[in-house]
Amino acid sequence: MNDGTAGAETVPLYEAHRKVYPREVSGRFARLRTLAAFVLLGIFYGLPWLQWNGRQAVLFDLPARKFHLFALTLWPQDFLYLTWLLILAALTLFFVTAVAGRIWCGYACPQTVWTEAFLGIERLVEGNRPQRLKLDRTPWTLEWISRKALKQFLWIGFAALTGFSFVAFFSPARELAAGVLNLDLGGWETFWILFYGFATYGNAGFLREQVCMYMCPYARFQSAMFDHDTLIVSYDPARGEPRGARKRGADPKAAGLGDCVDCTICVQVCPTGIDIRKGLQYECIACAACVDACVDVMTKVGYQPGLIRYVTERELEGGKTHYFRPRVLVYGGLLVVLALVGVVSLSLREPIGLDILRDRNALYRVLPDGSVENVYSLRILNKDEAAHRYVIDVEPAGVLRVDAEPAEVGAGEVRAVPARLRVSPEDAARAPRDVRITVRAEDEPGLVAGHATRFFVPESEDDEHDDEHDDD
Amino acid sequence: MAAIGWSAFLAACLGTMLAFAALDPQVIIDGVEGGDPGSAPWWLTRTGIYTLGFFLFWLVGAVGGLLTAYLTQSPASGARDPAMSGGDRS
Repeated sequence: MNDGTAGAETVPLYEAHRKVYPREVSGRFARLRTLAAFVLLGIFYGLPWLQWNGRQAVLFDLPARKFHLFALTLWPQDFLYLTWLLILAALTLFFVTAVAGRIWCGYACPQTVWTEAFLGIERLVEGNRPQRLKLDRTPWTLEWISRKALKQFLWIGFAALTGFSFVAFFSPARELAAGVLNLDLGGWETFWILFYGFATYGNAGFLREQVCMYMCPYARFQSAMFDHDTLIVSYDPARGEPRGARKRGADPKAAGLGDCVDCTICVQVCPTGIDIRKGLQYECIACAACVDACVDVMTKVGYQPGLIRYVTERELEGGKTHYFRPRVLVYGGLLVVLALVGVVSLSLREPIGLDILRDRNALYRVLPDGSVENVYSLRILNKDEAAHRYVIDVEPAGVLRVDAEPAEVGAGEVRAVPARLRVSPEDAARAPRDVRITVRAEDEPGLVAGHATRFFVPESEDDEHDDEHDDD
Repeated sequence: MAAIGWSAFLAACLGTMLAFAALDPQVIIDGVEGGDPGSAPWWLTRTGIYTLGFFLFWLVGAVGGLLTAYLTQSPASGARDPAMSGGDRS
C-alpha cells in the first residue's frame, strides 16, 4: 500500500489516487455541517483570547508546567485527570459511534472541518466543480496561474493563522501575538507555528480524503462499534434498483425501473469520491452530502425524498431500530460512571499535596540530653492560585514534639522542608509508633493534608547505648 | 510509509505526554547550566526539550514501525517489493 516515495505532499502517495473535485451541495445537512464548522473553528480561533480572572481561560501552559481550564488549574501531579479526560473522550466516541455512526467524521473531525474550510476557499477562488475541472484542463494560462496563486496565498495565510492559534493554546496568546507583530518570537514557537501550519496546509489542502482513507485509525476500527442498529448513510437499493435514466414524467414501474435516475450526483458531491450505492464502505465519512444531493434530485423529478438517507441496516431490512441494546447500555453506563467519578473526585480535590520521606541515614537519633529524634523531609505542593504559609503538626500529638518552621510555599510551587519529631527520654517508651504528619495553611484552616509515617525509638531504654544509631 | 509515520506520530504524542508529565525538563536545563543560570544555549528551554523529546519519540516509533513492516514482509516478496528494496526509507 505504498509506492516508496515518502515526503512531498504534492506527489500522490498512492498510484490509484485521482484528485477528487467535490461538487458543492446545499440542503439540511450541508447547512448543519457549515454551522458545525463555524462553531468549531470559532472555538479554535477564539478560545485563546478568552480571559478568566486576569489570565488566559484555556491555556496548556507547557513552559510553566500547568494547565488552566477556566477555574481549574492542573499540575503535573494531576496527570490522572488528563488520562481520565482522554478515556472519557474515547468512551464518548465509542458511544456516539454505536448510536449514530460516524457523526464525528462527518461534522466534527478537524480533518473534515479544515478540509471544508480549504474547499470553501478553493470554491471562492476557482469556482464550482465544472469551473474547477475546466480550469485544471488548461494549466499555465494566465487565469490558471493567477487563480492558483491567489488560492495558495489564502491557504497559506489561513494555515499560518491556524498554526498560530494552535501554539496559542500552549504559550500565552497575547505575548505570542506581540511576538509575531514585533517579529520577536522564540525559536521554538516559530518552529511550531510553521510546523502546525504546514501540517494543516498539507492535510486540508492536498491529502484531504486520503487522510481518512489511509491514515485514520478511527476509520479502520469504527466498524467494531457498528451493528445493525447503528445510524448510517445508505442508499435504499430495494427502492432504487434497477436504476436508470428515464424521460421526465415517465412511469418508472412501466419502464421496469426503480427510483434511482442514475444521475451520479451523489458520487460527484462525495468528498471521498465513493459511490454510496455500492453499499456501506469504510471510506464513507457519513457527511451526508449525498443525502442532500439526492433529496434535491428526488424533489426535482417528483419522487419521495429519502432514496439516500440516514438509516439503520435494520430499518433497511424492514425492521425497527433497537435503541436500548447491550452495546449502547454498556458504553453509556461506563460513560456515566466514569464521568461521575471524575467530577466528584475533581470537586473533592484539595489544592495541596504532601509527600513524606524519612531520613535515609538513621531510623532515629539520640540527642545528648537523651531524647529521641526522627528526621523527615516533607515535600509540600501548593496547587492553589495563592501563596500559603503551612504549619506542620503531628497526630497523635501526646508526648511528641514537632520541631519545624512554618513553610512558605508560592502558588503552584513545591518546597522540600525538614521536620523533626522528638520525644523526651522518660516518654520514649510511650511514644506512638504510627504517626501522621499534617500540614495546614495558616490563613485557610480547611486547606490541610496529612500523611501516615512511622516514628522509631530504640528497642528499650537499657540497650540504648549499645545500639546507638547516629548520623554518619 | 504514511501509515508508519502517522501511527508513530500518535504514539509520540502519547509518549511525550507521559514522559514529560513525570519529568520536568528544567532538571536537564539546570544540569547543563551547572549553577550558572542563563548559560544554556537559546534552544535549551522547556519548550525546546518538549519538542526534541517529541521528535525523538516520533523517530523511535517510526523505526519500530519500519522494522515491523520490514519483518512482516515474507523474504521472497520483500526482495521484489520496490518499497522495501532500496529507495528512501526514512
